Amino acid sequence: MNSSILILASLLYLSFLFGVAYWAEKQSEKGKSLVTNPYIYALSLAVYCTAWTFYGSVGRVVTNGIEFLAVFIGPSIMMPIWWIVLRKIIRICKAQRITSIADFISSRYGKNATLGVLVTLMCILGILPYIAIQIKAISNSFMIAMRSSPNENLDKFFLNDLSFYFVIALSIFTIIFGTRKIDSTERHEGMVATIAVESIIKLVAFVTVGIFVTYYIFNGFSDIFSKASHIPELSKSFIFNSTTESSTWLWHTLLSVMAIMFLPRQFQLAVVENVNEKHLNTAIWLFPLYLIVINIFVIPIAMGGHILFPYNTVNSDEYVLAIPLRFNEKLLTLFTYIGGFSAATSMIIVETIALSVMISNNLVIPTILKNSKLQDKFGGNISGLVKIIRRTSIVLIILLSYIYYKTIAGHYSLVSNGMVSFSAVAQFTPAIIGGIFWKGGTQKGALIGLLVGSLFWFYTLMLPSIVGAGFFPQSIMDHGLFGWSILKPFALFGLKGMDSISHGLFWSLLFNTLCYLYFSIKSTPSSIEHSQAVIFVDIYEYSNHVESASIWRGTAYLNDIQLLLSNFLGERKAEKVLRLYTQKHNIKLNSEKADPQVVSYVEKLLAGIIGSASARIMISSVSKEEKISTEEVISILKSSQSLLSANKELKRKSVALEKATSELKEANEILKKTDKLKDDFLSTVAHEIRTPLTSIRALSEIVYDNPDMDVTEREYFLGTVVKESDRLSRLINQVLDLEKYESGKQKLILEEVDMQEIVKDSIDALYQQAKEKEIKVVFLPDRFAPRFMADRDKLIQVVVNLLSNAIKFCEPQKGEIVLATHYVEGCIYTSVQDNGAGIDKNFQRLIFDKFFQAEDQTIKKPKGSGLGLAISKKIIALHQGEIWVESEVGKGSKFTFMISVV
Amino acid sequence: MVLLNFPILSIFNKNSTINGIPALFFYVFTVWAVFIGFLYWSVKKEEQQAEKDE
Repeated sequence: MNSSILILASLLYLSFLFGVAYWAEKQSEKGKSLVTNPYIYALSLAVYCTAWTFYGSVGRVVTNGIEFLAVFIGPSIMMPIWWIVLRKIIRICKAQRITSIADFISSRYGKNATLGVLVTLMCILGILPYIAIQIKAISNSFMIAMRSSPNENLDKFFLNDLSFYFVIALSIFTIIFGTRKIDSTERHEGMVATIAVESIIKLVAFVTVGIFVTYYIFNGFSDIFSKASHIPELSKSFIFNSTTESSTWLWHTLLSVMAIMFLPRQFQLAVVENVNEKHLNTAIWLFPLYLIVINIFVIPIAMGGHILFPYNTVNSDEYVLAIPLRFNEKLLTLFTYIGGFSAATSMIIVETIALSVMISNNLVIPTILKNSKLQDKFGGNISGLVKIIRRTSIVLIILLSYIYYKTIAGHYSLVSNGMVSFSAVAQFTPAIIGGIFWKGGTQKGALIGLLVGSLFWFYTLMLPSIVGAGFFPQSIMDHGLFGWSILKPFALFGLKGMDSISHGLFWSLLFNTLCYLYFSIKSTPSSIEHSQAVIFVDIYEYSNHVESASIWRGTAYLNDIQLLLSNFLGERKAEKVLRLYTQKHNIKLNSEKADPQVVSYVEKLLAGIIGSASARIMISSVSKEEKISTEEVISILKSSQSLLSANKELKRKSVALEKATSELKEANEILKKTDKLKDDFLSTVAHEIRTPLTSIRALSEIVYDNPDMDVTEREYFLGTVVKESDRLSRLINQVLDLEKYESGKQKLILEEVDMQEIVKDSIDALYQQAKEKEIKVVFLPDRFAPRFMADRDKLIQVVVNLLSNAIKFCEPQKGEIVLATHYVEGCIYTSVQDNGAGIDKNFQRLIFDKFFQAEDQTIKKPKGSGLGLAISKKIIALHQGEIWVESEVGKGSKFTFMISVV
Repeated sequence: MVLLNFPILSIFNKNSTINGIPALFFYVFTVWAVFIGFLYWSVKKEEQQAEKDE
C-alpha cells in the first residue's frame, strides 16, 4: 500500500479525533456533557486494550497458547473487587481532590512529598517501555501495510523515520486536550470522549478482521481448528503443557487485576474522570463484555495466520495486518491499520496526560517550592509554570519513549514489555489497598515497601531487557551479579520453574508487602498521617463533611491566602470561589486573620491543581501552623460528623412529630363530630320518646280520673294509648336495630328472592294507609329481572320504609306514588317516586344520616323517627348496593336503590 | 475465580473438541460469558432494589 495513503489516513484520523474532542468540549460548555453517560465511561475504560491487545495477543497465542487471555480474564472475574476498591478510591479522591495515583499515595501517607516522587519515578520508569511498544506498534504496522520490513525503520536516522513525525503530531494533540486549562478537578471531557470513540473503532476493526479470517478465508471456527490440529506447533497450544504454564496463568491473572486498578491511564479514566459513582454499575458488566468480544477472534486469527504463513515468514505479531494484506483487501487493511493506530494512540494520550500531571504535581512543583532559590525565580507565577511543566513533560515522555523504542523495545515482543509495566504498577498495591482498608499503614512502611519492591522489580524484570539491548554485560544474566549465581535475575535465590514475569512479580511483591507491614507496625505515625489514615479508611463516614471540617489550626492572614489562590485561579475567580464558600458555611471574611476552615478549603483547592504535597508546602509558606494532635483531629472529624447526624436526626424527628400532630388533630375532629352526633341522637330519641309517652300518660290519667266515663270514649282513649305504645316500642326497636347495623352485629339471612314479589308485598302491607289518604299507588314491574340472593325481610323493610315515607309526604287525594323495578346490566334498580313536598337540594344527602331529623328539628316538624332512611341505607350497604334520592322541592322525590345480582 | 483456575481448568485441559473448538478454549470462553451475564443480572437486580427502596 502506498505510504502517502497511509500518512493521509493517519492524519485524517488524528484530525477526526481533534474534531470529536472539540465537539465534546463544546457540548459540555452548552451543558450537554457527554461524560455524564455511563456508557461513555465504560467505553473509555477500554483504553486498557492497547496495541498490545490488537497485535500482540495474536502473536502470543502462537508461542504460548491461551496464556494471553489471563490479562483479560483477570479484570473480568475480579470486577466485583474492582468495584469495591474503585468506589472507595473515587470517593476519597473527590473529597480530597486527588488527581493522580502518586498524589493518592502521598496524600494517604501524610501528604509526603518523597512518596509522591517515588511513585512518579516508578510510573515513569515502568510506563515508558509500555509507551515505547505503542510507538513500535504504530511504526511496525505502518511498515507492514507498506509491505516492507519493520526492522528497516528501526535503524533509520530519526529524521528519516516517519514514526518520529507521528510522535510529534501525537504530542501536539495531547498537549492541546490535556493541558488547555488548569483546573482543580483535572477533568478532560474532550479526551474522554475521544478515548471512548477510539475504543469503538479498535473493537470494530479487530472484529471485522476476525470475521474476515474466520468466515471469509476459512469456513468458521471448526475449520480453522481442525486445520490447526494438523500442525504440531499449533495443536500443542490448545492445552496447557506444564505446571509452569498453569502457574503463569494464575500470576498473570493476579497481575492484570492490579494493573486494571493502578495503571496511571486506568486511574485517570476510572477515578479522576469519573463524574458519577453510579457509572461503575454499568462498567462492571460492559467492560468485561468489551474484553470478551475483542478476544473472541484472537485465537482464530493467530491459527489462521500460522496456517497461511508457515515457516515464520511473517512475525506472528503482524498477522492481524498481514492477512488482509495478503488477500489484497486494501480497504480492510487500511481500516485495520487505523484500528491498531487508535489502540496505540488512545493509550499514549491518556498515559502521557496522567504522567504529566504526576511529574508537575509530585516531582517538579514540590522541588521548586522547597528550594528557596528556585522559588524566587519561578514562585511568582506558578499557575503558568504548571502549564509549561506539563507541556514539557508530555513532549519529554513521548520523546523518551521514542528513544526507548529505537534502542531497546524494538528487540522485544509487544506483550513481554507490557507485562514489565504491569509489574511496576503492581508495586503500588500494598500501599494503596493497605492504605484504604487499614489505618495502621504508615509513611515509613509505604516508603520502604515501595522502595524495596521497586528494586526487586528493576533487578528481575527491567534489567534483563536492558541487558538484552546490550547496555549491561550478558554475564549478569548468565551467572548473576558479581558472578553469584544466587543473584541471577531470572532465578533469584535459586527460584526456578516460573516464567520471568511471575518470578519477578512474586519476589518484588513479597518483599514489598512484608516491608510495608513490618515497618508500618514498627513506626508510629505523625498526626497528619493519622488524620489522613482516618479519612481514607472511613471515607464513607466522613465524605459528606470533609469539606466543612477543618483539620488545620494556626494563623494565616486572609490577604496571603487570597493572593495564593489568585496566583492559580486568577484574581476574580479566586474571590468568587472564596465568597461562595464563606457564604455557604457562614464564615465572615472581614477579619484580618483567615478562618481555619477557609485555609483548609484553599489547601484542598490547591491540591487539585498542584497536588496535595505541594499544596501543603504552599499553605505552610504563608501561615504559621500549630501542631494539632491526633486526638484533636479525630474529635474534630467526629464532632462535625455527629453534629451533622444529630441535625439530620432532629429534622427527621420534627417531621415525624408534625405528622403525628396532624393525625391527632384529625382523630380529634372525628371524635368531636361523633360526640356531637351522639348528643343530637340522644336528644332526638328523648324527644321522640317523650311525645308518645306524654300522650299515653295524659290519656291514661283522664281514664283513671273519670271512672264513669262513657264506654265508647274510654275505648277511644285506650285505643290511642295502645297506638302510642306501639309507636314507642317501634322507635325503641329501630334504635336497637340501628345499633346492630352500626356495630356490624346484624347478619343477613340470604335466600333466593324476587324483587317484584318484595315490592308487591310491601304495597300490600301499606295498602290500607294509602287508601285512607286516598293516594294512588302504581307498580311498574320489570318482568325480566332475575331472582337473586338477598335477605327478603330486610328488603321488604326498605321498600316499606320508602313507601310509607312517600305516603307521609303526599297530600291526601292528590297523591300519586309510582313504584318501579328495572333490570340493567346485572343490576336491579328499584325506585319509589312520589309527587309530594320534595326535598331541598342541601338536605338530599343528609337525609340518609340517622340524625338528620335532629338537625332539621327547628325547620319543620318531623314525621317519624328519622331513623328509617338510615336503617335502609345500612341494609342496602349490607347487600353491596347503593341508595340515593333525586328530588325537587314542590314536585316530589324519587328514591332509588340498586342491588347487583351478579 | 475458582472455575477459571487450576485445578478445575485441568479437567478441560485435554485434546478433544466441543463443536469443533478445542475443549479448553470453549470452556474458558463459556464460563467467561456466563460470568458477565451474571454480573449484568446482579447489577440490574441491585438497581431495581435500590429503586424500590427509594
